[in-house]
Order: sequence, then structure tokens, then C-alpha cells
Amino acid sequence: MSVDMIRVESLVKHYAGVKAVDGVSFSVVRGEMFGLLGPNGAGKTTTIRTMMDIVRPDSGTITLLGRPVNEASKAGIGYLPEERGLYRNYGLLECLVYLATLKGLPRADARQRAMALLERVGLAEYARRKVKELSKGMTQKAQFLAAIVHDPELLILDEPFQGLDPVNTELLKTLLIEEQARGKTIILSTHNMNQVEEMCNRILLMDEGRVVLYGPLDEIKARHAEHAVLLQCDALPATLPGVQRVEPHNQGQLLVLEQDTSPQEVLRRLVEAGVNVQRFEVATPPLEEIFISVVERQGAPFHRRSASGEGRVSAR
Amino acid sequence: MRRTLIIARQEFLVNVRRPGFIIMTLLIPALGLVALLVASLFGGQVGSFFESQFNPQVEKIGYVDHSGIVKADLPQHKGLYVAYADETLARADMLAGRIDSYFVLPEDYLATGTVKVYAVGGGFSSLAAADSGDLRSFLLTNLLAGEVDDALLARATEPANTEAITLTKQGEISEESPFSWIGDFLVPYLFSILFVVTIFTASGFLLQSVSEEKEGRIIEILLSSVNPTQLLAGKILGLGALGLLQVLIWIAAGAGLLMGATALFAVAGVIKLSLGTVALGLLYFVLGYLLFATLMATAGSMGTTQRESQQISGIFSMAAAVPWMTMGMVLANPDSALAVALSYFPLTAPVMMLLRMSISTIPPVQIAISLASLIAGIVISLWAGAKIFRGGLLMYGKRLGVKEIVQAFKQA
Repeated sequence: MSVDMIRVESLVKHYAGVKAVDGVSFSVVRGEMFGLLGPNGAGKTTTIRTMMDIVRPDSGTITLLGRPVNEASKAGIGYLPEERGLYRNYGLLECLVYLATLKGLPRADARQRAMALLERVGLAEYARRKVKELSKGMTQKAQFLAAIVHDPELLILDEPFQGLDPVNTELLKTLLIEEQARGKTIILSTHNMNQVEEMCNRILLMDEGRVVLYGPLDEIKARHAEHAVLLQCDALPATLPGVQRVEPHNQGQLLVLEQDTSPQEVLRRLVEAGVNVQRFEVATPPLEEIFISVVERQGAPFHRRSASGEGRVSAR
Repeated sequence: MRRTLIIARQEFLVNVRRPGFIIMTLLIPALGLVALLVASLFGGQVGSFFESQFNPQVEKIGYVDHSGIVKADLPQHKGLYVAYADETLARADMLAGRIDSYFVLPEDYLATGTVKVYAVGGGFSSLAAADSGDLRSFLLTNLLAGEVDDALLARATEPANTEAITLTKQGEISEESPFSWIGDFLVPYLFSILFVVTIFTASGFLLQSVSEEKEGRIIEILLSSVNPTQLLAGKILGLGALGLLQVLIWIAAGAGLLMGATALFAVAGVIKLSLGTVALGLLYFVLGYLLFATLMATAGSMGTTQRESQQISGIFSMAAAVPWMTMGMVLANPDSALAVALSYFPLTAPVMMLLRMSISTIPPVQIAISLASLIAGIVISLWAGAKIFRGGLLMYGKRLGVKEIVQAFKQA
């Protein structure tokens, strides 16, 4: 049975006359990795800040395990804000211990847990160093540790991969997967849709304060799938019944099918024609394209404010 | 409450290690110790040195007498006054530096009393020469010498040898030691100054701490654990404890030094501070700290960088400096209308009252009005400060303007 870890209902928040969040509702199920998506300025950070009780909503409710978020329940959340830093003049361990005690962990436990985490990410020997003496990569790792040092049930990460090098990006992904495997719930907020496609089970896609897409990633993709297959092969026959047109693709060729033709029929015809098929997949558009098409369908022409993808077609 | 205490503990521990705090706290007792050692080694010489600093230099004065009242060379004035036949000679000697000033008695001096005093170097030095008591007694002796007997002449030139006697409230003569001014004035006065220094050290740390957290982007991480009020309260509490520690160290060092002074100079019972005065001083210290701590924290949350926050806080520091600017006036008349008015204004009340308390007995009504106004000021600044603090904490890269402050008031 799935249990709602956090539930947001009809959230509205204005900033100086501008609607930052406009009637957003969603829930995050315990144990899942949930993606909060949208271009910069979509209202993700405001939504998160209201969830953390850092800003108060104009209207709407937020419940954590069925109860309103308060000081005590905030201790069960680990938060990595988009604007993040650590005390530069503190020792690394001292800094982590202080932040953990603020979350309600006894000092001795905090020390033990912080030390274990520092060992896990290879920073144990820097425990007594001042934060300002650490490299940028080390500081970024330490910032993540600060969010999980009190072993929270729910992790809310706002743009966690921002500014990370490929090595640390991989490490962070591994750590997140480990946390999820330990039964933790994770909310990942980012404008980078590719990352979410890789990691999240369900998503909420926001634009200009409103929900654009919400639900399991598979379902969303299936709903917006084009009638096409991705094909990698030696040589394509000049004509192929049921195929409307052929488009070039960076991983092969994209075959757009006629309405009444199924992918299975095309595969059968290819095999019959003796084509050496190396790869055959039902094509789905990347999240970013789905997002743009949905926004445009809703009437607002989408001007790529922060287009991060490269417009390619990915395959499922 | 628990989280507030955790913040307070951390602020205390972090700031107590600051070199600025350690140096400041130890420097004051060290200076006192040096002063004590110097005094004990050089004893009376130090006293006479300081005394000489307050007495004007002995000067040679010339005069031109057209009235004929000056009797040549009375023994009292031998060597000090030089007679000149005319003004040109006197002026030439003064310009050559052989005399410091000269005066002219006109023919009709007896009828008019006019004396013209000439001195080099602008208004102030001629003013000082003209106002000199020596001139009066010189003229008096010359006018009366030979006319009255010597005893009367001596009394006329110096009619009062004053001797001050202090009575206790019971009407008994109190046994004041020659050093009693140290206890009556100097020690309370120095402590008033130190209290004020501590208020601004601690609230300055508060400003630094808030703007460090804001500039270092730590604030949002903190707010995911505590609310802004807890954060503010924890900081005020922790740094207040730090300020109290500093004051206690100074009081302990002061007591130690006084005991040393007592032993060295055989001066007994120098300090006679009433418990009431000390308690009132501490009350003003705590309230003054609360007011400025809140204001500094608010300023810290408004700026984007530490420097910007310090600029904003400058407004409050300026207000607090007003009592210092008027200090000369306050020392001369601690109960003047200006001093009383500044005692009633919240931003100047703590400093002004701490200064006035050391030099005069303040009427209870004034204390009551001043405390009420100060407490009202604290309540208002806490109320407004908490709102601005909340609104300002998450404004990155943008200084809080009037529009944002209004917004903060609406939100919170």
C-alpha cells in the first residue's frame, strides 16, 4: 500500500503581485524518487520553500505524513537548497555536527553519523579542516552530506547537480540511489529534464506557476509517444509499406509510421526483406519536447527560456 | 526552545574564539595593570606630572601704566611683571618672545576700569590672558598697597580658601579619602564606557554573524531546521552571554586592580557604589544590548553583503554616538534639558543614562520614563525587526528596499 509522504493541495503564492505558484497540487509517495521539473522561474523553488515552511503560502495546504509541516516534523526532512553554502570558518566536522544538532540529533550521534558519511565520500581526512580550505568539489559533497547527516526520511534537493563535475555527479547519483534503496523518499527539483528521465519514477512538470504534466514518467511518455520506431540497420529498402517517412536521427533512423501500421508489422517486413537489424525500438519523444508541445497546446507559445536539451529524440 | 539554545551555544563558542574579542577583553585589564604598576613604581611623581598638565605655564607679563596706580615692584610680583615706558617697546619685546603678553592701563583707568590686554596667537590666548586671576590680584594689590593693612590686603586678594566637606544622608561628616573621586566618579564613569563598548561589540558580532550566514548562503539551510524567530533569539541570547562574560571579566579585573591599589597605597574603601546603581547599570546594559542587537540583526538581514549591512547599521550607530558628542555638555551639567531629552529617546537612552548615572543622581521619574521608552523601543524593534528579518533573509543579490520591507510586513 502506498502512503503519501507529502501532499500539496491547491498551493498559491504571490510575490509582489506576480503569481509564483498558482494552484499546484500533487503528492509524493513514500519510497519514491519524485521529479519536480520546469524551466527556471517556473515556481519550483517557491513550491519547495512553502513545503519547508520557509515561506508561507497565500492559500493551500501542505501535509507531511498527514500532518501540517511544523518545527518538529521539519527535522524529518533533509533539504539541499538551490542557494547553498557552509560556514567557511568552521571545521568541516564541526559544521556538519552543528547542522545535525539543529535537526534534533544528540551531539554524540551527530558526530558519529557525520564521521561515517565523511568516510563514505572520502572526506574523512579533511574532517578537521576549515570549510574554506576545501576544494569546490569537496565543498559540494559536504553540502550534500549536510542535507542527509540527520538521516531524514524525506530528502528535498533543489538543483542538486548544478555545478557538479561528471565524477561528483555520478557519486551523487549513486548516493541518491543508495538512499532510495534504504527506503527514503526523494524529491529532485531541476530544470535539467534528462537527469530526471534517468532517475525518477514520477514527475511534476511546472511552468509559470502551474502544473503542466503530472504522473508516472512511463505513462506520460506513452501518452505523448509519436507513432514511430527508432531503427539501426545496415541498409534500408527503398520503399517500406506502412512507413510514412524516414527521418535522420543521431542513433540511427526514425521511421514515422502510418496510423494503421503497428511497429510489429514493420519489424516483420524488415526481417522478411532481409535487413540486418541491430536496434529496433518504439520511439518516445524526450520530456523536453513533450513539455514544449503541451505548453504550446495550452495556448502559450513556448519561448525557450532555458532550453537545456538539444531537441533529440530518445528511445524507450 | 532547545534549538534556540543550540544556536545560542554555537554563537557563543564561535565568537568567544574571535581574536578581536579576546584582545579586547584582555586589553582593558592589561592597561589597568600597567597603570597600577606605573603608579606604584613612580608614586608621587606621576601625580605631580598629571597635576602639571592641568596648570597653565607660568608666564612673564609686561605692562604699560599711564594711570600711575602701579607701585614699583611689590614683593609679591617680583620677576613676573615687567614695566614698559611705552607700548612700542612692550610690543617689540612680546614679539621677540621676552614676555608672553602685556596690558595697558589708560590714564582714566581709575574711572573706567578699562584694561587692554595684548597677546600673540589669536583670540583664545589673549582671552586667557585677559581672564587671568593673576591680573586681578596684581591690580588689587597695587590699588590697595599702603592704603590698608597687610592682613586685609591679603584677605582682599584671596577672600576664600575653600574646603569641601561631604555629609552622609544622616548628616554626619563622611570620611572621604583624597582618592574618593576615583570611586565616586572615575570608576563608574569608566564602567559606563565599558558597558557601552560591550553593547556595541556584541551587537556588532550579531550583525557580522547574520550577514555571514546570508552572504555564505547558509541561511536557507538553517531555516529548514528553525524558524527566523528562533534564529534571531538564539543569536541574541548567545552573543548577549558573550557580552556579559566580557563585562564580568572586566568587573573581576577591576576589583582585583582596586584590591592591588588598596594594598599599594593604603587607601581603604575607595569604591562606594550602591547596589541599586549597579543593578540599574546592568539593567540599562541588558536593555541597551537587546535594542541594538535587534537593530543590528535586522540590518544584517537587509544587506546582501556584510559591507552593505554595515552601511545600513551605520544609521543606528550614529544615533548611539550622539550622547558621546554631547559629552562635554553632559559632564558640565548632567541634568540639562538636552541630556534629559536624550535619556528619553530609545536609541540614545542606554548610553546617555549610563553616562549620567556615573556623574549625578538621576530622579526616579526620569529613570521610569527612560526605561519605559527604552522597553517600548525594544518591543517595536523586535516586532518590526522579526518581520524584516524574515523577509530579508532570503533576498539574495538584492538589497531590501522600501517596497520589499512593505511586502515583508504584509507577509509575516
